[in-house]
Amino acid sequence: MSLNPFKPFASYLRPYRWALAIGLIFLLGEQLVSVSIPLVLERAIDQSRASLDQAAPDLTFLTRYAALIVGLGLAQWCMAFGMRWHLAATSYRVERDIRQRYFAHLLTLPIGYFQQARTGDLMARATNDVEAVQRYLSHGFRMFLSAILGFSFSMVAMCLYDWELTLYALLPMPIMTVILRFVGSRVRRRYRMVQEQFAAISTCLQENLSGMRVVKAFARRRGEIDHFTQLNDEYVERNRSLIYLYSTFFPFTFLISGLSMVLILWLGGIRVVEGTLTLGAFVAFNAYLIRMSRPMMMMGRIVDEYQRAMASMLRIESVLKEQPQPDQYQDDGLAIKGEIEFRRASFAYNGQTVLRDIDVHIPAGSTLAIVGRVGSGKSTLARLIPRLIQAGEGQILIDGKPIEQMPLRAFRNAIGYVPQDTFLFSESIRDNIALDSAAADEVERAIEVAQLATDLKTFPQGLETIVGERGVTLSGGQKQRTALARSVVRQPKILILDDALASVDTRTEEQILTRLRDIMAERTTILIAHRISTVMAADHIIVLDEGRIIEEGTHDELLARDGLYADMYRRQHLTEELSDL
Amino acid sequence: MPPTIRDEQEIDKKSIDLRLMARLLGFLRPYWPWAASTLLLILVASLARQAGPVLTKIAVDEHIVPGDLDGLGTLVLLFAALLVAQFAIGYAQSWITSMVGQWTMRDVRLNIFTCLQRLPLKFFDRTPIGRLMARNTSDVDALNEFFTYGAVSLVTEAVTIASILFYIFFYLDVELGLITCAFLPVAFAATLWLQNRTFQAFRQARTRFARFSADLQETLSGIEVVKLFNCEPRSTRRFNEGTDEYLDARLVRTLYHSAYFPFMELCGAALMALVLWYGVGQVLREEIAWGVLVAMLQYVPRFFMPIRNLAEEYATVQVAMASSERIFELIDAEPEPVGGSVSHERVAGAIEFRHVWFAYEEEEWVLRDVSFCAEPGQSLALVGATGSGKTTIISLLCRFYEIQRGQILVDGIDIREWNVEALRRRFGLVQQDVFLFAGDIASNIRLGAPELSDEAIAQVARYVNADRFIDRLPDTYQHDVQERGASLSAGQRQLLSLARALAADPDILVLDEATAHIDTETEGWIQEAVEKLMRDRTSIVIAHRLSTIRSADKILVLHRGQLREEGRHEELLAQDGIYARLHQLQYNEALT
Repeated sequence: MSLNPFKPFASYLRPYRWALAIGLIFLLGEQLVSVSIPLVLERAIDQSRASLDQAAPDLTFLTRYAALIVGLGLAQWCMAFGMRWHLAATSYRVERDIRQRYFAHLLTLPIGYFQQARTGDLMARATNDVEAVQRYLSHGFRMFLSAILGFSFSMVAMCLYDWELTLYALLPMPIMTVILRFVGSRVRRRYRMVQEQFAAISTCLQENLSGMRVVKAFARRRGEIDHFTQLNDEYVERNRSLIYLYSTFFPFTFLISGLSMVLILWLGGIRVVEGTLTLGAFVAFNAYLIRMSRPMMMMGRIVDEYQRAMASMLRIESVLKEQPQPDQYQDDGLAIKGEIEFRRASFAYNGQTVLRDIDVHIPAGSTLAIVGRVGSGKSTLARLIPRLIQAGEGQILIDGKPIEQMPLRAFRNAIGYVPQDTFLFSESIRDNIALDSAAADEVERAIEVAQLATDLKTFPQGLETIVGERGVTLSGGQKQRTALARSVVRQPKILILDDALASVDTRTEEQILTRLRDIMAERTTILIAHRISTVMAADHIIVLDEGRIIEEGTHDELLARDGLYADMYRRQHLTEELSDL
Repeated sequence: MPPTIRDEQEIDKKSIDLRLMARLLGFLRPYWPWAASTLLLILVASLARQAGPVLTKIAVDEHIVPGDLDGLGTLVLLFAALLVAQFAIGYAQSWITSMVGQWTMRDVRLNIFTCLQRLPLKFFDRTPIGRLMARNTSDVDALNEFFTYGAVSLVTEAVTIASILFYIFFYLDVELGLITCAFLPVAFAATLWLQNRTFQAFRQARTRFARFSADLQETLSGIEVVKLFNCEPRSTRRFNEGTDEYLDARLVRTLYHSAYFPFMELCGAALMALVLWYGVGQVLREEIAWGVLVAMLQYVPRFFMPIRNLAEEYATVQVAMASSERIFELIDAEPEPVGGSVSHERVAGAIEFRHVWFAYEEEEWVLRDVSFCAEPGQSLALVGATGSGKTTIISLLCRFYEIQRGQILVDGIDIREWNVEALRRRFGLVQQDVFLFAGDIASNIRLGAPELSDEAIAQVARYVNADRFIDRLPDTYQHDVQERGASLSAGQRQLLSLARALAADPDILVLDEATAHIDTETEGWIQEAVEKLMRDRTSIVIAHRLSTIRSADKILVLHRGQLREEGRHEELLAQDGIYARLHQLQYNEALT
């Protein structure tokens, strides 16, 4: 354990330093009060023993002592309340602060970060990890200080009675610490193995559920159950080896604290008989022993909580240390006309070149179509424009200005990007389209363009229908059209359709494109599609292959060139021409 | 009502439902000898553990106060021996209890999994996987907590209180015992007060936690949209509201906890004062011995620990109850019918739909009075706009859903008379979005035919041209399919799916052709493979490729759930109906 158990959390604790200080003062007070109770016991018993010799003992002192104990109990209650409240409330506030800071920071990170990080992992940091920190700050930390203070106060008190006896009483404690540490490290290792197996079970289940149609279609029920049983049994096996060790913990701490009691009973008893220790001191000794063994028992758990909190904090910090996407330019009423130029732009991912030396000029208001095989780099090219990814070499300019030098928010506002895989929030269709900003009539118009109106009529709540987990499940085409409406509603200067109508049937696509053409007239449009029919009307078509532009021109020019484009065109229409015969 | 699963992480019952508890404890039945011995061990261990103060009493009264040290050594040795025995019993008890918990949880998990396998597809259509996963993680966790800690701890703490009282009453002093008992109602009243006050906040905290986690998850999955549409302020506002609300609920609970837990210490101090005040008087009146007083003072701090532990565990039990209710709901959900007894090894492949009506939701007909038939070996192509009912037809054929009216026959036998798994084995289903399981290529092909040898797998792959890309993979057939085959292209997945269907050697091919995203080279391979597969089988294809449609023996044109046209390509074109229009549209597009 580091010297300062606060240090890793210092910056989060600073705003609450006063609450924390008050909590700590209460903690100190509580420990002082509680260490004094056995002293009262000792006095009371010894005075009573002394009064045995008197003929008519005056026992009013007993009432005084009893009242004193109750008074001390009350004081302890108040202070413990103040201590717990201040420390725990602070820990929950810190938990909230970490969570909010984490979230806010996540949102500043570039998209690339989210592609390499796993959602489940990022989620775990905001939930389990933050909770582990909270648990330590509220529980582990309090227990740690209580243990240290309680232990040392009790020890001092015991030493005042009889330092030799104290030493004997403490004798079994180091053995306990050593053994608990030994067992503890093994328990942690086995626990990890148990966790891994649990993850395997979850994965199996997740797959089974996602692939239920396949499981049923191939009558795989038995096989799946067998597979699950196997993982499930292995999980129990791993737990068994953990339990062998784990089960020693509790009985063992009892054994050790019991041994101290035995020693005190024996050696203390002899001293009482010899007259070097009073009966009251003997009782007080026993009371201190109980107070000391409790923190010792907790020690393993405290260390464990601390280590977990540290590990969790590191995991959280590692995200917070990630560099945000640079965005230092002032938004001074950015007006984009929509001229786009790629200057020898390249992009590599994981050392593999995806785009190489792309040179394209797209005049404002014109339509560029991109075709090419799967994996030729079409989407990558499109994703460069709204700065979802960053070009490795070369430049991308909009209205003659490098896109990195534009204020990010204003710049993205001017771009409507409709991706291939649509994401909808679990909200109403209206909220999904408007996303905070758009007015009602604009939404209506976007719905017209995206051909959503007829679909909406079939939903009971129309535009207010909630989609996703808690609501209606939309078909792939409906999702894509909702995403299209979401972009159209903002009347972007640049519209990018990244194979955005793939799940829409040909007929609807045709209708959408017709509508779009009206609004495309004033906008720069980038169109990625597989169907040649979709792209042939574009002002300029580029053909990508293995990250390079291998052909470009208008539909007719490209046909005349008789290259890959013409080949794709022919292949797509060969069957149709044949069927026409 | 179709089976659904309740929302949220709600705990709606405040008290413990006894019927539910009984059912939950029913999981212990196979292990009852172990569970019973656990109870016995808990009792013995607790008696051994709480014997210490009584031994102290004997030492004080017989040796220390009289000043007679003879025999103190023996007593101390006895004490030490008792400690060792208690260690052994404690270990055995902890081990057995934990294992019973593990075995029980294994059964619960398997039970859920098995039940899930039997549920109809309709259930999975309605229930998001996330929610089902939550059943299996957080709810099962809650039960785990209950079986391995909660239930045991409830018993252990209760037994501890009982054994302390037992020693006080039988070995120390009845009057002091009564005084101690007088504190029980106070402590329990405080515990009940705590439960009443914090229950609402506890419930709220769980719901709010679930809510902001869901928000976070959505933001992460939709991060591109969030960024592209500058939704950061909106997301942040929402997340911060969620976490603030969660904090409020937690603070309420913390406030009460801060008062309650130290209150138990106060009870301890009060009891100690009372014992001292009354006990010393009794000693002086020579009603009780010094040892009784000393032992009592040792029991006092031990007495309130179990009560506060009970309070802590009570929440675990509440959560477990709510969780078990949801789990039982899942287990009790109506399974899909297993079907009749027909389970032929081979079928000729005649398919017939007779006046089939079907709706996913009541009265919202997806298929209306659909009738058609396919002779053995024929190929049928299903054509129609999206939502016309093509996919539904093939789902019904595999009996994924139950039809409302009419009949579906395979080889002249109503599919409801078929054993549902035997029926499905006769079909080779190739889906549009191919689902790959974690594992290697070979195991994915082997899915419907676990007994197939590696050579046979390779042969199947070769037959459908899948070998052309598999051979290029680093470990060929042992290549690990990661993350649902994200490393494979759509076309490659399609080829794998064809291989998978063929491996099961089906009599009827059911194919949902992929629409897009396949490069021309792979496309050619797929086409060739499909033609081969269709050659000597009955096949029913949702066709998007004109070549498939043209070569079909019969084209079924679906329009808004009805079968509107039927015939061969040329005939249908000549009819100049829906098919002709669909075809025309595709053709015209090429000229714009």
